[in-house]
Amino acid sequence: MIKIYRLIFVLVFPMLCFSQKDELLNSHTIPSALRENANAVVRWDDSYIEVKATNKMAHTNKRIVTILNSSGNSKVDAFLGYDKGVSIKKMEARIYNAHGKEIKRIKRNDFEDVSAVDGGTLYSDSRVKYLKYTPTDYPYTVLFETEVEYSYTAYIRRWMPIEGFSTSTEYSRYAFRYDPSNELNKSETNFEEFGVVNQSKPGEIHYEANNLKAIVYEAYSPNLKDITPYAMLNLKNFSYEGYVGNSNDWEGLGKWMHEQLLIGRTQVSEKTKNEIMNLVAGLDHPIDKAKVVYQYVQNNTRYISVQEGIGGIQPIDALKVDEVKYGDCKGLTNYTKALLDLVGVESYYTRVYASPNNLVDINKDFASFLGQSNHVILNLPYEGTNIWLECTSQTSPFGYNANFTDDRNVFVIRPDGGEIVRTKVYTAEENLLDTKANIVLTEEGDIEAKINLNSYGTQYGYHEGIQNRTLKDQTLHYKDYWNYISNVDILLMKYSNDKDMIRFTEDIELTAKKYASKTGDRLLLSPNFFNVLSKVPTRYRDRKLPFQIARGYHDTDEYVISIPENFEIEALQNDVLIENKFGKYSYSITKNDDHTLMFKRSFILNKGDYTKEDYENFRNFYLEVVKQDQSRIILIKKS
Amino acid sequence: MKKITYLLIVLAFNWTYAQDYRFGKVSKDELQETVYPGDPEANAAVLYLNQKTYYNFMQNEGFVQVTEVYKRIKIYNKDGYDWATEEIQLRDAGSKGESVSNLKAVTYTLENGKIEETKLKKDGIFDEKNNKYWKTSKFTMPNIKDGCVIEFEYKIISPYISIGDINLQYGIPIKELDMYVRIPEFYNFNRYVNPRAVYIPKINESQVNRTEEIRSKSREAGGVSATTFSSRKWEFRENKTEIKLSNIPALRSESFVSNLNTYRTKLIWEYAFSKDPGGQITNYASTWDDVTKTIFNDKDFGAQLNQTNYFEQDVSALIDGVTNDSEKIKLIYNFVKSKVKWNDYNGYTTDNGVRKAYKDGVGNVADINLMLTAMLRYAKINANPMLISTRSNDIPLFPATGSFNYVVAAVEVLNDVIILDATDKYATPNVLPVRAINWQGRIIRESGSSAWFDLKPKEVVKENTFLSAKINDDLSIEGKVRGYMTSFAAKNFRSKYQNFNAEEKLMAIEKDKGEIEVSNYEITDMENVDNPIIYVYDYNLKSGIEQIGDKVFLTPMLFFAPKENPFKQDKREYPIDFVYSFNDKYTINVMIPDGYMVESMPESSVVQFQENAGEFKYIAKLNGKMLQFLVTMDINQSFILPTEYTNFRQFYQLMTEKQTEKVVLKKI
Repeated sequence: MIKIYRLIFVLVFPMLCFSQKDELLNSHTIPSALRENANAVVRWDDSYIEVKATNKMAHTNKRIVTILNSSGNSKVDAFLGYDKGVSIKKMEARIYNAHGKEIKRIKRNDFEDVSAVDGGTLYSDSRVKYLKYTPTDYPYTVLFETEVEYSYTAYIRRWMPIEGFSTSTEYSRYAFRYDPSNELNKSETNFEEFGVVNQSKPGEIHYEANNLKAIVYEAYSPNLKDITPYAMLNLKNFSYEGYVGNSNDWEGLGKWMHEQLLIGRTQVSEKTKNEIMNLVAGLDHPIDKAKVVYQYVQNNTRYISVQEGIGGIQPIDALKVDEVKYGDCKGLTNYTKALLDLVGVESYYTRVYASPNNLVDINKDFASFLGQSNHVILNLPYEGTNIWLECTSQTSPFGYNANFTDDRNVFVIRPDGGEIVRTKVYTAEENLLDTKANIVLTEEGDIEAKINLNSYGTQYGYHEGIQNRTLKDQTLHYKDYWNYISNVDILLMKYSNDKDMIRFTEDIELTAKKYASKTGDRLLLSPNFFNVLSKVPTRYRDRKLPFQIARGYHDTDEYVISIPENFEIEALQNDVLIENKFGKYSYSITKNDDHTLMFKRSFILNKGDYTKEDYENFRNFYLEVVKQDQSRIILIKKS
Repeated sequence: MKKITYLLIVLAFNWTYAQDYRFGKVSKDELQETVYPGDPEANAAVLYLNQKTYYNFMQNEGFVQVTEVYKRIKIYNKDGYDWATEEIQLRDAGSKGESVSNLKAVTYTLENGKIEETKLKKDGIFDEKNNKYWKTSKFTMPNIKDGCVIEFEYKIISPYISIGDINLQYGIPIKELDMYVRIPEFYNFNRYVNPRAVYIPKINESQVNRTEEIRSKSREAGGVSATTFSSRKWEFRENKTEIKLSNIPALRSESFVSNLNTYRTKLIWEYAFSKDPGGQITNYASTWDDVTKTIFNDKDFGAQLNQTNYFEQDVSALIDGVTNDSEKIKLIYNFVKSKVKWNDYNGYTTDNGVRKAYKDGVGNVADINLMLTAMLRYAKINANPMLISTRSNDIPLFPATGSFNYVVAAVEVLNDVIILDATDKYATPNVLPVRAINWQGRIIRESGSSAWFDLKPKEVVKENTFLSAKINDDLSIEGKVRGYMTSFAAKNFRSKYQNFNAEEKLMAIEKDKGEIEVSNYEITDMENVDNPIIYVYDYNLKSGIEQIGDKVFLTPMLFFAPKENPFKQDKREYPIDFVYSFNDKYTINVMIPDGYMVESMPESSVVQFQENAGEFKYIAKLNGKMLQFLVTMDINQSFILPTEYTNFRQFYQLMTEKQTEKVVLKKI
């Protein structure tokens, strides 16, 4: 029965492709709904993947994309990444003009072939073949056909029929065939909302999607793959670079990885061992020891990325890091772990998807060896909590992982099994920027100010970098930071970086001419000297997408303002307090005595996921804050 | 005795301070140094750079170019760790490629007062094939720590006679530099120092004698076979260029500098001609006549200009009946722009050839602009190719083909030249893509003569804005805006918004204008590049007025007022390049609402920068219930030198302040 079915499948499959193809090459046949907001239309994308053995998988893809304008060019996506585990059987592209007439044919050897090394990597054996084509006219259509054979099954191409913003999809199909005795793990999200047809059965996965309209990017949009159809598949028995795995839950996968890739790679030289033992001598507390080890790693190693073969997955031996004193995230994490092992502090190698802006999770319910992480950190369990060490940074404070690996599900690998754990969440309260200032105002409206900024949490990360810049850049930085103040002269810049407290302090002294504007006997002055919110979220006449604030923060300001002797207050602003689900804002300016005013401000932005209907309110909140932040008071010359 | 002690001390003193720059002779002083004395902000410094280029004589191959590099680098802190990685770019075209040999590299650290050496091993060296023509050899040093010193040396053996650029300035300071280039008299190079460099090196030139032994083997014919080995001495001269420098400052980036490399101190070498021992000269380039000849003889240049049959029919039809030259130029120019698209490749020689480019509708810069030149000539227009070096390249310094990487069409008319570049859809006559506006271009005439032509645009770019405003009872402002843009301003506008749909265009125009709602936005002549861009819209602005007590404040320029002076640095190292001169003009009418009167308004004023180089005029008038402003800004000098910067910044500052000044209205 199975055999007959297979025959039908094979026969039917290509026929379907060809009967539809011709009209799809003509751009005039694009349904108008799919042209709306689109720079490119995926007319047809058909993937057929077949697992032939644990170490053999074939992927055939046919794809027709119409590019409507030059912003859509990146959606041609006619490329193949490869390394020695990939053999390209077929790779061909044809270009058609708007009417579907073939104008160019690109054969396998005509594709550009370049190293796939990114800027941060010294060496990698991955390469990419891609189509370099200069469009002569729009729209044009690209037919791209590939047949690839992989010598591994550890990563199965994902399905994401809406390929990007401003890209619509007319038809997308994804079929995957495997031996049903090999257990398959699936993650299928947002299928129903987009009318995905799922005709999967044991041994065969089959998805189809039709007429998916283009989605336009909007500010604060969540990741596209979180709100559109997305499927991931993983086989229980898989292979990679000669390694054979047999688990599709995180626990088993962790155990397997520990035994196959991590174990026995934590030896270090006698010399290093002695150095470490000397450094921790007399220390009892595990955290104290860990801090010493972390400091040692920061002082003695640096980040250099080299990705070769299984080295793309397996850390280089701690002994090798010990010798050359560099490594990538895997190597440096493993090395730190090796040293912590020596001093008896428990720690675990942890895979994570690191990203500074969006928070990206590893899927708790979908275990896969590859494809969900791009970085490695070290987990230190301590009294029921977790400390996370970023081992590639030579400067990060111990346990600081804000703005990179915070607040997300990560995969902790322990000898007895792996586990998905959430990393530290930096709350709005923790992400504090506290600005205090003493300001002296002259009759001419000039100011002289002493400012003290203390930043914590995520804001520590935004601020501390300034200390390593050149004096010239530092000066320019403050002129930019307070760009709404003209005629600034920076007189003093002093920093202190408290890595134990994870607090960065900036002491700045400056003068600014004509800060307050003088009209007749009056001085107009904005009492919010040093923390003005000026950017309002983009306005959408018709917001389409929900929105997300990935990280909250809290700013507090307190300024003491001395006004000239011969001036008095004519008009002050009333106190303002705004509170809603997005945050809280307060503003007050009060008279301390005849010559001093006190300004206080606090702004809290909450992290959260919000509906599109909320967006207008969110924007209005900002508008009110922006307006209030710029409001001014009037001082008048005593008569 | 006393004298001798004194002498000894002096000697010893000298001894410790005379740094030994032989490989491996890193001193404790160097390791202990914590900052670079001349530049405390340097994260690393090249303590010694020794670079030699010379030609080895090989019995069978003749001269082979060798470049030896030796660097000693001090790394002060973690931000200097990048200097522990060296990347060597090598030509690699099929069978003929450059190679690195004799690589030796050591890291020195101070451990408990003792110098420790860590050698670079083979597994720290990586070779990467970048593309068809280039590969990179990379290595990174082991055991890098704050304060360490690294040394490495290597040789590059090249089958090419090509020196290229020799950088004499890095992103970090160079303490001592020692370099020479020795060239046998048979090869002749043009050599220049980058004229835009701020730091100017001193160069020594000399001639030296060199002797090579040539061995030969001959067999006597007939009789007993005997082989005779003979050798003879071959004497010739070599030209030696030598540079010894100390304390070369670091090249650091600055805002408004698009390509820092433009200002790097470096030697630029161009292979000009070879002369074999018999006196036979082969020209590569050395005088403009030679260049012209070389270029016209190039099958990818001259031959491309002479082909006409592929377009004759089409062009004849296109200009049929047209007698006016400028009309012909326009027709042909637009024809090429629509017919052939640019594939992002520069070059003054064709890639696929004009014929193929015409057929396929795609080509590199030369394919397109040589085709354009040929068509213009066919139409009896006096058109010639003009060679250009793009901004990302360098400036063309000497009569040599290699200093150019771009070509455009130039039509010489009475006392003027019209430059045409058909690679950019939105370019127009004399409005080139910014990449091509660099210094001077060289016109290569059909007659064989050639001449420089200044590429700086002569036309003043105009941007006029009319703004009307009416203040409503709720203190919102409504009104109309009408804008007019020519030349580069129009070109930039078209390029930026070409793919925007109506909604996106609306959002773009509303961006950074505060709480505004724009309606009835219309743009005229988005596509017809011969016309200016004209746009109109209505707006409603909620955030334009500030109310304090019974007074109302507003900036007459509303959202057109600058938010800040962009020039924040106190002084500059490098010039600012605006590319073109411009004239911005705002005509503003503000209607005062009923129940209000003007308490104060900005005064008229004029600010100038270096007489006519820049002028700002602000004219304010109250005309019944109408406040009228005329604000003009003329920048007639598009290139601001560092010495002029302080004044220029001041000029901008005054301009910024004036434009943000407020009108104060009072309730009656």
